[in-house]
Amino acid sequence: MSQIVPINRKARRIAASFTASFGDAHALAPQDPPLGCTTIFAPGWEVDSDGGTSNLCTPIERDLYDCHHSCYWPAQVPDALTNSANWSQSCGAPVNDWSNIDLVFP
Amino acid sequence: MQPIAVAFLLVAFAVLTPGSAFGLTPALQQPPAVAPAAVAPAAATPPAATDARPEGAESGRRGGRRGAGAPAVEAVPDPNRRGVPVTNELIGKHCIGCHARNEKGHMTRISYERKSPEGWELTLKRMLRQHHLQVSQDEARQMLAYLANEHGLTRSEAARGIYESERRVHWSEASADQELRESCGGCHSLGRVLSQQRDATEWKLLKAMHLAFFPLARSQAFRGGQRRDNSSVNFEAMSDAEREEFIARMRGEGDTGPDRADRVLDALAKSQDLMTPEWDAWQIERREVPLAGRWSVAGHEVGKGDFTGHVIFERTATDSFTSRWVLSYADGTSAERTGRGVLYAGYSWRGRSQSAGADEADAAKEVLLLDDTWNRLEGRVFHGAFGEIGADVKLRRADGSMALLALKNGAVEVPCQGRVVELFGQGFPADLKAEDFHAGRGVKVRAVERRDATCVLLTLDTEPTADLGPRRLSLRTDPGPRALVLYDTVDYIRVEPGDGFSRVGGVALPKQFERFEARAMHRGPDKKLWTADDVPLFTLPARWKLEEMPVSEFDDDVKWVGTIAADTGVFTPNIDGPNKERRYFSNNIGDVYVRAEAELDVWVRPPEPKVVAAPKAAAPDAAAAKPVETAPVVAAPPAPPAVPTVREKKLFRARGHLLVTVPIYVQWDRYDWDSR
Ligand code: HEC
Ligand code: HEC
Repeated sequence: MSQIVPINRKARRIAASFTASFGDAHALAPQDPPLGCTTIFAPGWEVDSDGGTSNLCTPIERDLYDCHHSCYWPAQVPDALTNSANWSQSCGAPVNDWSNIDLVFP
Repeated sequence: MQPIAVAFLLVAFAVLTPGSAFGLTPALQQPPAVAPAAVAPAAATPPAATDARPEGAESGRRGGRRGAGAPAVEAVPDPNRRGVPVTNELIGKHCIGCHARNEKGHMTRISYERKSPEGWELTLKRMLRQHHLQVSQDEARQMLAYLANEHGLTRSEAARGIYESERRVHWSEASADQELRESCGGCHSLGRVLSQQRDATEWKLLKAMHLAFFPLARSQAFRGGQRRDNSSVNFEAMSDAEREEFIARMRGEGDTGPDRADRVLDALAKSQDLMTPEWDAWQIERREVPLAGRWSVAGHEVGKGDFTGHVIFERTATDSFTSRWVLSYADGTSAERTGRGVLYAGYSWRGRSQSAGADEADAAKEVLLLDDTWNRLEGRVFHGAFGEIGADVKLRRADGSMALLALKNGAVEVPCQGRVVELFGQGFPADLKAEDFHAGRGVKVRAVERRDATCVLLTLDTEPTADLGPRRLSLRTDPGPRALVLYDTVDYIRVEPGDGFSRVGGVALPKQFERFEARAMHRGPDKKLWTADDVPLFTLPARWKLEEMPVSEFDDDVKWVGTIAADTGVFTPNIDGPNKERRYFSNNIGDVYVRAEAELDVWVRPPEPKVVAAPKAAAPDAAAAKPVETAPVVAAPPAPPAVPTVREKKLFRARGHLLVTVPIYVQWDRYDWDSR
């Protein structure tokens, strides 16, 4: 861990777990999130501000219709305002009926 | 007035007033007082037999918009504005209702933008979805082919954002301009922006389109500076008046002055202008680029290794070809695929191929870019719901001339005796001798065995003093690739990709798979591990395992995210949906380590020879104005390198990171109309 200095508790734990078991921590210096990851808004769709998943809304189905109605993620979740007004109708409560959610091909 | 009508009105106004007189999008400065009736009746062209609107696409809630009236604003584009004339009959017929044409054949919007085939497909689909354009699938295909070809990108323009078309998952946009990233890279990748050329007006209208359709974009990304959190906005719950007021605020009506997006778009208008010298030259020089014939293929597929072979393109119509691929993989398997494709705008190949008897799901898409010499094609062949399973390929025209293209196992130990390296190429002559090859200082080519015109086996010796690192292997007049890599020992192995990415799926939404491979590495000239000068040597079979990456207090991701095949490194994510057995009903998402373990038989590097310090030169007199002549530094004679004599079986371990995350519910990049 040369270039990257852990600044919070979580990071320190990760750092500790690295060096404890491997000498290859450099290899794991976090790179950029993969292409297509939406990271700029807080939190991102795919990753949180720490580059992980632990701070994402979970389950995603609980938040899905909020994202839809607020059109907050128009490239990831069908937006209610413009492209997919009726999207939420195929499924009543997403946390329970999530398997009826439609994937939209614009 | 319905807020949605406002949305449409803004946009419609933008369409109809693209005159170069507007430095800024008029729609943004003052809401036009024109009725949303701007869509001409001609939009209601006779409905065709099959509606091209993609399955599953919803058409929004505005009905009965078309035929509502005639365009009220100046409709004909200014003939002095440079544009690409539209010469296609279908476009004339179907688009004229909303996109007026002048005497030069310029149509509003259409003539002032150029983009990749994928970019054009997005636009056409929006015309269908939002603006109720009605055409058949077949007409959509023909219009797309025309636009991608005649209103497409030149070679270097296409190269800039090609990773978008190649659907690369492992690609970084971190080096892009920061303002551009923050304004335009938040919802979709910047690749979408980089695969377009437009004039300044058109770049500005893009902002109008985003704000009209996705008003939150303003505070999320366009305005810059302080961020307002709009995540709890619910348009459904608002009254009409509230909604209208909110949207107007989001669109910045009343705000003055350019924002961050304006700055970004101004810059794009310069760096990605509609008319470029390269485009002008192509207009003069254009011809059908002859692609037909045999091409040699060399590539690499993560998880499968290197492959070589050839493809034969046969011309069927202008710019259209069939393809027959014959490939053999490092693991001994082989593949034969047939398909077809189109060369757009002289340089951009879009193809599709599949092996005999396989179903459509097996079909791989090909995105290749031709180089300036018309002798090389390079790109990616991929499949999977997210295009995530793919191979990088390089093609070289096999015109009978001799060329050494790739080394199949070109990492060679130092010292070694009688090591056999397999060469792949074309036109290898029958009378090849060892002297025809040159492998540089310290490497002796002992024997040559020619298998056929594409395959030669070389037997090499490397001396203990041979310089380490990559070097050329040349053959007669061909300088050859810098693909012979000398190394004394393997320093470590690395997991590739280092940051894996996967999406849960399989029930409501598709899975996004990930594949890993292990690569042996050398520490490079600086003798330090994990630095930029380290040299990749070869991929090797490894045993694979997932491990917890401890992030939170009760971290149990590794139990849920999915499984990795111990022998192949293929990761299969778990299903989508809430998991009732997990805390908070969490999805099966998480962060884990991917661990590879492999054994290798390698030289034990002898201890470094002691560095004898050179006598220190007298420090120059600091007070002297002129540089003092110092005595030449006498370096100690270099100690002879120690020769490794002991081998060992060494266990190597490496870890990578894998992010298994949520699905996406909109898939913009299912391109179904390109004539592939
Ligand atoms: C019913 C009206 C209508 C028809 C028909 C129509 N368009 Fe459009 N077009 C619009 C509107 C409104 C916009 C502006 C909003 C937008 O970009 O979606 C637009 C914008 C565009 C743009 C600019 C998009 C961008 O990326 O900024 C292009 C290019 C375009 N149309 C091409 C076409 C083509 C090609 C056709 C025929 C196949 C067509 N349109 C048919 C209404 C129409
Ligand atoms: C709020 C999310 C969001 C932001 C921020 C955003 N976009 Fe988009 N963009 C979208 C969506 C969603 C689409 C697809 C629109 C459609 O076709 O219906 C899109 C489409 C596009 C297209 C394709 C349009 C066409 O027809 O060719 C381009 C180009 C584009 N965006 C450029 C930009 C630029 C430049 C910026 C920054 C100034 C930007 N985007 C910022 C969401 C966003």
